[in-house]
Amino acid sequence: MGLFRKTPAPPPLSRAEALACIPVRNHAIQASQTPEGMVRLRYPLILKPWIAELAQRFRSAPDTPPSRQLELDELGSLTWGLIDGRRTVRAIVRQFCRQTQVHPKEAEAAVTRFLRELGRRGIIGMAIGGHGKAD
Amino acid sequence: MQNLCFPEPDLTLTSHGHDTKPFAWAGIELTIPAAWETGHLGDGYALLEHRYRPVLEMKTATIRGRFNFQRHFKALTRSGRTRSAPPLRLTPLPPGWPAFSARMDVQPFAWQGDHVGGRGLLLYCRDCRKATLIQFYDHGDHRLAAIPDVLASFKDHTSGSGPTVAVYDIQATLPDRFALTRFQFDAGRFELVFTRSREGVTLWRWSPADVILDRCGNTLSHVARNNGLLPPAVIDQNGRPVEGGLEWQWPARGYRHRLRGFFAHRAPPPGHALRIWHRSDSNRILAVRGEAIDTFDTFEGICTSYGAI
Repeated sequence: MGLFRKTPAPPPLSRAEALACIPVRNHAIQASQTPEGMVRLRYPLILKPWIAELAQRFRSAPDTPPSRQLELDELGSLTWGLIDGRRTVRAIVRQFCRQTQVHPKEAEAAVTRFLRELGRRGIIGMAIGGHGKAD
Repeated sequence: MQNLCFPEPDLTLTSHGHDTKPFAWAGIELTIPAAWETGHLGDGYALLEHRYRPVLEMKTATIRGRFNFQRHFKALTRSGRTRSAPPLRLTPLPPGWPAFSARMDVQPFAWQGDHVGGRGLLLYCRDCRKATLIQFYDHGDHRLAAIPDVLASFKDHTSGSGPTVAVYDIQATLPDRFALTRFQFDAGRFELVFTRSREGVTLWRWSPADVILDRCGNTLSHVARNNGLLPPAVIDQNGRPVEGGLEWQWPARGYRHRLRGFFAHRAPPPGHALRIWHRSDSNRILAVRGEAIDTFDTFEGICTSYGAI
């Protein structure tokens, strides 16, 4: 029965552990600035192998990997600028809170949702349990 | 190269220099340390935090019928998610905690889990028939030192002096019998709806104001229109300038409203009004909409009381 045994899911991170994670930018991301001063990200698409194979056959430039662009708004651009590979999520929340004067709870909700979205698209990764910059 | 680091903020002081601030929710008023923040709010429920850790939890409900201490204590302490909650111990009132009015039944309790403990009170007021459970989380640090002062400030029926609602960074005082019927706290946007008979009051708060104004062409009227605060009848009208903002008034269009004016032998009350203003000091936009408000003074009073903590 060992063949069909499911791998147990790792226990979910506690809130304190999640806030202590360090967001790290994906090196394959190309960040540029728009004329309005916002950040534009070009990130490679993560495709299933057979879809990638199919896409490669039908694309005009098959050597370039498929990618997408994402343009961040003011607050997104600010948060992106705070991701330096050393700051923890908590430090980013605090800095965001200071710079925008929003309530700490709102800053936490907004920043964590934004980071989750970036992580879902493979734009950032999370270093768990690191000893990052506190502020 | 040296990194520029901001100093840790002094969480014991508010922006206006006081070390306490009001907290009011679900008819319960408290004075809490300024460093405590609203963590989660629900219907008759509030969780306050300090440095991302829970510090105070409050549940309240109006008791219908006869109050049974054991039964309601069990109901209020029931946890939906914890399978094996640590056992509660009923204790005498700890030394230093304030004595409550003789019209109140008080039962202190304590519990101890693996990493955190708690102590608190179940209070039942025979006058307003409200049972309230307040518990303080014990993380083994200095946070419990504030308990006597917080409990001494406890009010479970309106004194007429405190705010009706004081949560996160907003507070407002509404006239008697206005009940909170709907609320939504999203990052950047708060909305609270109060009703009293046919009257309705809605409070909004947006943050950060500079970003929102920038998106709306730096005019408050665009903010009001983009968020659907104005009805089609006045959506094209320019608001009347008031201190720091704009105001619109429009008559109610119901037969009830017209009949009310007819039978009262006077002009019908102004009906509906919306005021929106920008608080540049706190980078917030605030708005109040009154529907079928009895007198315009009531609306004016609510607007005056509504502000940032």
